[in-house]
Amino acid sequence: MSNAGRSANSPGTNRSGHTPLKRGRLRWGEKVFETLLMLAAASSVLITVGIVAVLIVESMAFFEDASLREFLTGATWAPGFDPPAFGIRSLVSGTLVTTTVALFVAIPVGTIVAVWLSEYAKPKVRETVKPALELLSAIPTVVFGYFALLFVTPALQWLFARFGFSLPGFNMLSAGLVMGVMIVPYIASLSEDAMRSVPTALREGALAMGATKFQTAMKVVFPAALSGITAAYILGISRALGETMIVAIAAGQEAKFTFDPTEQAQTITAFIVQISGGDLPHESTGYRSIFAAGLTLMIMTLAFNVGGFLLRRRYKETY
Amino acid sequence: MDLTPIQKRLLIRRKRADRVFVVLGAALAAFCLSVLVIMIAALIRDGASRFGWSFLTQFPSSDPPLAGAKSAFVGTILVMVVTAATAIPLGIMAGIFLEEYARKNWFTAIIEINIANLAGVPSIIWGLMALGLLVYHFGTGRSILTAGLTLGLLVLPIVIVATREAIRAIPQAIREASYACGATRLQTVRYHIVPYAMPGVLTGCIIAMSRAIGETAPLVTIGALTYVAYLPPAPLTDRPWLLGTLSELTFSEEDRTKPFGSASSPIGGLPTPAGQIEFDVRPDATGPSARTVVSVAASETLTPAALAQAIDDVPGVLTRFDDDGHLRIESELEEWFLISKDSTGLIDAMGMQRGGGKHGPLDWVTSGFTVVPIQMYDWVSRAEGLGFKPNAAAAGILLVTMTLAMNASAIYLRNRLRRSIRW
Repeated sequence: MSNAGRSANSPGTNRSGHTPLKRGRLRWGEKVFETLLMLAAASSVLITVGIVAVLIVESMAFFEDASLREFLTGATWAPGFDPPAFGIRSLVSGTLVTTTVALFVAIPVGTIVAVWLSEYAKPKVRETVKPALELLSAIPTVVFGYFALLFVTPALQWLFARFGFSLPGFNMLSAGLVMGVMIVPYIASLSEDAMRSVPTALREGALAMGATKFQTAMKVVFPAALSGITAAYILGISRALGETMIVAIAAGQEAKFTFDPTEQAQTITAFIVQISGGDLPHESTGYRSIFAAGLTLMIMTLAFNVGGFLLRRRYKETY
Repeated sequence: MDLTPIQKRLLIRRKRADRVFVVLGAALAAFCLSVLVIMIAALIRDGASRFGWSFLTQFPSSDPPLAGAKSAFVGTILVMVVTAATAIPLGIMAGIFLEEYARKNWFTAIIEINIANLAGVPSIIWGLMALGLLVYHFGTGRSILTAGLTLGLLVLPIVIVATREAIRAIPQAIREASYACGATRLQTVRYHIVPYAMPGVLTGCIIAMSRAIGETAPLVTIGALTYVAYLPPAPLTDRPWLLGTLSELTFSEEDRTKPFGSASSPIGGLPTPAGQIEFDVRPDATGPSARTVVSVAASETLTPAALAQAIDDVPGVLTRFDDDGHLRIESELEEWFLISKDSTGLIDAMGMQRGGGKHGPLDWVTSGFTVVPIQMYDWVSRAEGLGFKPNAAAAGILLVTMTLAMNASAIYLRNRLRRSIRW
């Protein structure tokens, strides 16, 4: 029955004598609810806009006082000094060194554990080990920081001393190593998911051709899952770049342009924590520099993610 | 089949990689798990002596054996309340929208890409966002509210993803059956989708909360305090006690040494103040009070710094100018005080709360705070020289216990679900 036909009838009854549904009122509630849900979903976009806006607006205010050229090319980072120096290079080097050390641990260990879980381990072992590993990534990072500073560093110092070297109390090596172990579960878990979603027929094909399990894993499954594995690596890199508390506690608080992991140096994140901890007054250029540092970190993370996306698209295999 | 020696050797060599890999994979997984065990063992070794009931019932102190995590523990719980109130409803609603309502168009695509990217934003960036937007722009201050909102937004993607996965696992037939019975979309969501997805959503919420409990960096960035010797005001309790009261006016270094009456002072133009400020100081909230009077003599030279010093001399009361230049009047540990009378007018002129009445139900939301991870960070940075290592480790035990318990319950819940649901 068309709407026009119904409105022509007397209200309350239709031709067959039944009371029609009050469709208008019901629909109104539905509409309100749907709008509410949509607003909730759209709020996530607002958050992103907020993050980007804050970083850009505050960084612009920063660059009114500090020169962009010095920021990009200067060799020292000393926002609390007079005159202050803003050469982001010193913070970027610290960030890159700790990240590299972490990845040297996390990528090999994470990948091997993932291959083992997906291709070798019995289902029962896998169902136990995987959640247990995820527990490792649930530990708060400040606890990892404690572990790096007060357990790993003394242990490394003892080890270094036996070979006649010395290691300072704050160093990027122990921060990076602990960070690497922290990232292993992310890489292992995601890579394992990717490898397990490779069709079994591919494995069976390889095994039927006489390949060993190892050859199947390395020459068939791994390449087929490379897209997902790359995504796992990229996530690991993002985690390492943005990790804060471990490096703030164990890597040192003094910005230094160095690529030697046995030295102390400050990362971008550790610098932000140090300044927010209350060293500089609010309206100062030094204080605003945390936003410029944050923007730099954001751009680095984004660059790795875009690079990873392009790589993934290249390796993408569909079945 | 007979194999030549060369064939045999080749076969053994080919299988060797397999054997090595089985051992290597298991060894590396065991290594990672042993790090977890060693870390917990190290915390227990260092912190067992400090961990205990008194650790949870004592405020921080400069004396390590007496320093506890009472304010931090309460702060963590209150921040989590705000976080849950933000992330859970918002996340579930967004998840329902994306799974049940969203059409395939550019708007949905943007939201989906956006949520995936938000999950990868470093947590310290969230702190910067909160600092620039909430603390400075919206003026929510360095409060429990700011902290809870920040963490709530930070873990929002986790709740959304968990909700979507839980909803996606519900077979289409359930929806179709509901529609076939004449249910509307809202009714289908309300009576079928939400209840069936609830266990999965709950698991996601627990994981999200456990992540939020351990987050330190964003809260340091918004300026959480490291030394808090009071608890946020409980709802509907008496409010005469000026714990950590704050002047609305700010005094720069210069202003502090300028007389109140002078035109360039923040309270310039006031007639030279004179009179008395009376303090009722009590050892605790209900004990007997002792009255202390601070006399302000009519003087052209009374400066904010001198007034602060005079109030500071009242036993049980501390004053200081904070980083922003606000004059803070705080009570010493376990002491309570009330400014019962102020005939000078200065207290009012500086915009300080005089107290009285009851705390509103939500007053605690605007209170300053600290949380367990920040307390731990503070103690770690003073671990070696000042002997706070046991305190740091004890805070670590507390944190690990909370997060592992939450995660273990989430894993348990997830496994039980997998077994119990058969569509």
